[in-house]
Order: sequence, then C-alpha cells, then structure tokens
Amino acid sequence: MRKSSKLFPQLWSLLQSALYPLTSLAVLILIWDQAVRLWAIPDYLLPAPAAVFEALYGGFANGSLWPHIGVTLAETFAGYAIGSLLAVLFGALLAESKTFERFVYPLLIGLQATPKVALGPIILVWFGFGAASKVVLVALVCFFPLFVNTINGIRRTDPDLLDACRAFSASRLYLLLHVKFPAAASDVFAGLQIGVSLALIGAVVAEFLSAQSGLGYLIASSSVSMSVATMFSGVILLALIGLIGAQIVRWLQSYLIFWEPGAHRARSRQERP
Amino acid sequence: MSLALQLEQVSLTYATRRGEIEALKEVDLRIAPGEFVAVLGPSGCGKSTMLKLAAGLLRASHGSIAVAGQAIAGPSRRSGVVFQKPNLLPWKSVLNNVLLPAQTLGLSLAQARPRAMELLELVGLAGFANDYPFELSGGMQQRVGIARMLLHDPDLLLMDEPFAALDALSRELLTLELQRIWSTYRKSALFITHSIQEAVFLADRVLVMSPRPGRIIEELVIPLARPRTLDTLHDREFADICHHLRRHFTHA
Repeated sequence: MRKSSKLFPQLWSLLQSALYPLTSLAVLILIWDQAVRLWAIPDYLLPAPAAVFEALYGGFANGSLWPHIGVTLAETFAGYAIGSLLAVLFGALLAESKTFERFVYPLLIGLQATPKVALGPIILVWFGFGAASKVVLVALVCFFPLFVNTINGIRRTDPDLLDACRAFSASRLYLLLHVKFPAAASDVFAGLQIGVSLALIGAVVAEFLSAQSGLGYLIASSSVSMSVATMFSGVILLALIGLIGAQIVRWLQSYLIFWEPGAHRARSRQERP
Repeated sequence: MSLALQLEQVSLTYATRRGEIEALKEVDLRIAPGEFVAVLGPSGCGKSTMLKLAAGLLRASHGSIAVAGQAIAGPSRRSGVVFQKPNLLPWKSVLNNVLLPAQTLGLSLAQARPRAMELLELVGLAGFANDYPFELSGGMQQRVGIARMLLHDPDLLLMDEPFAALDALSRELLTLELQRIWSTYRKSALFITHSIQEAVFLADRVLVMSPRPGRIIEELVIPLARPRTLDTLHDREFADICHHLRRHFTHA
C-alpha cells in the first residue's frame, strides 16, 4: 500500500505529461474526421481516420502487415548497427591519427555534402535487389552524423583531465578507451539519436526503389492501387517505429551516461560537507 | 642521496600569435628528500607551468629537470600530482579513480586495492569507495585527488593550487590534513599556491616568483615548529613571516 502511494504521484505526472500531446492528437484526428465529412473528400484522396484505423486493424488481424514490419525493422536495425559501429570506429581513428585526418577527412566531408539517398540506385546496382542494398543504404545514411559527432566528442575531451591522466603515465590507448570515449559518449548518443530517423529514411527510400516487402514497399505499392488508407497505415507504423527507436536510444543514454547532469539516475545527488 | 627534484636554469618560451611569450626564465629549484617546498607567486607568473615541467607534461626550452637524480623525458612514476581541479574521471567510482595510477602504471590491482582503501581512510573518505565523483562535494573530490596522488607511493608530490577552488573552511581543513598526511609519509613536495598563509603554514621553505617571465626572486626558510596547528595562524612569528612575504605582492 505504501509503495503504491509513493508510486502514484510519479504515475500521475507521467500520465499528465502524456495527456497533453494525446489531447492535441485527438483534436487533430477530430478535425481530420470532420473535414473529410464536411467537404466530402473522396476516399482515394484522404480517407477518414476510421478507414485508416480499419486498414491498420485489418492488416494486423489477417497478419498481412507483420512481414512488412519485420522486413523494415530488420533492414533498418542491421544497417543502423553496421553504420553506427563503423562511424564510431572511423571517428576514433580519425580523431587520433593525424595522417588519417590529412588523407581521408577532406574526402569524407565531400561525401557528407552529398545527399546519400542519391546513391540509392547505384547501391541497388552494386548490391542487388535483396536486403543487402537496403542495409547498405541505411548504414551509409546514418554513418555521417555519428561519425562527425564522434570526432567532435573525442576532440572536446577536457585537456586538463587528459593531462591529469598523463601525469600518471597513462598510455595513448588508456586515454582513448578510459578517458576520450566516455567523454565523447554524450556526443556519440546525439549522433545515434539523429541516426534513428535517418536510418528509417534510408530504409524507406531503398524500399521505394525496389523491394518485394517492407513498409516502404507497402506504401509505394498501395499508391499504384490507390489504397490511401493502407499508405497512411504504413506511415503511422513508420512513425511509431521511429518514436520507439528514439526512445530506446534515449533510455540507453540516460542509463549508460549516468554521470552527466540531467541523466536519470538511481542515485540522487546529495549535499555533503 | 640525490635531490628529490632539481630544476637547473630552466626556461620556457612558447609561441603565440602575438609572438613568443617567456613563461619561465632561468629557474633554479632544488628539493631535498622529505622537504616541503612551496612556490608562491601572482597569477600568470608561470608557477603552474613550472609544476607541469616537473610532472613531465611540458618540455623545457632550456635547462634540465631531474627527479631523484634522473633527467626526465616525460611523466615519471616517482611523482604523484594533484591539480587545482580534482580532474577525476566522472564515469569511474571513487575507488577506481584512486586506482588510476595502478592501472596506468601496470601495478597489481590485488595489491593496489587494499592500499587504495587505506588511502581513502587516510583522507577521510572511508565510506565513499563506491560513490561517484558527482555525488561528492568539491572538497571531497579533492581528497580523492590526494589519495590518487599517493597510490603508487611516489617519492615526489607535485601539487598545483589544490585548494584554490575550495571554500575557505574546506580549504583550512584540507591544509591541516595535508600537513598530517605529509607528516605520515615524509615525502618530498612541491606545492604551488598564491596564498601566502597556505605557503607559510605548510612549507619548510617558500620560494617567491616574479610576474612573467617567472623567476625566483626570494627564498625563505620557515622555521616554525611542527606540527603546525590552527593556533600557529595566530603566532607572532607566523604573522611576521607572512608580512615579510606580503611586500612582494603590494602591486597586485
């Protein structure tokens, strides 16, 4: 009983903070619904919210949506993981090596300025029409922000902290692993955060180009048959995946980087003499 | 027995956009084993630069630096350092921060761990081994820094205004504790400060530095008996020495 009374205010504030955006969402759906009725907008232009819900519900009920969700999730996750891993690795290498910086950095900056999705068709030619090309495009798209953030994070490590560790004969490897990487962690997570939405963009674009399944494919193929309600359900599912993904990254961040101010921590800061 | 620290005709100039800046000029410094030497100077006189040179973090433009009779080319395992900022790793627990020198110097952690716990007790943080730096006050963080400095049993303690960022009360308390800790181990110490009282209270010998380019303009042996206590601060002799040193800084 005591536990729940302690929990209750927290739950209430959580509910409250969720209540505000949910209210706006409800109002928005209401306006949408009324507009469709008022102006008698035809189904093939803008379906009523109920029709979209029906398409979603039907898709889940008959199981036709699951494979699409699964494919897009798998491609996005694989590409995101590979792209992020390479970004942190290359970022660390570049931040540590002058030679690497001189030879490679300018090229990477040039590549960064290119819209990566423009490479989509080329990647398709190179990696085929299967999952590989989607994974590669996703990896490419979410590589750059994280790469740049990793470099900046490592370079912004407090020089006094580095000096203090050097005074105790810390090796370069020790400084990188125990000082620079943790110091760069919040920048790395900022890059990971951006990467989530970019990864989804990459996956959807790749699926638009050529695919047999996936939410991008679902949206593109529904466009041919003019089933706008299905297209909307695809968009809604992508939005949900993006939201949940970003939330997972945020949660990981506050769990792993417990020392940063503002991080949610189990221990509370106490005033001590 | 060789000197704990010796700086011979050490100069340091560095290049900036507005030309070369002479931070130190022909500085001579000798610290005997077990001796506590304080270097007193106005801000920007290069006294922190001197400590970084002694710690092997900077290279002198001219002159030579030797720790325990050996010329140094980088950080020496014979010295331990504390800075004005605690400079603890925020992602490591208090215990692991104290253990840092053991990790960087490749010492046995099995032996270092009990020693770290002992040192934490010595600096009054026995119950805080598993806390993180952000959970500690500034004074406590600096105590962790002192424990870390002592972990690998260095012969030479290098301290760069370790109490400058603390409030007056913590500062007084830690000054007393530093004397106690120093008396326990009798290490050689180089203590940089801009507080006359702190220098006189702690040191066997006080060196006064001039504004840039920093050079040593006075050397004064402090004859006050140890252990010095809070009462020492109200001693006639203590006041006279402080007053005598004070005249160097009347323009500051």
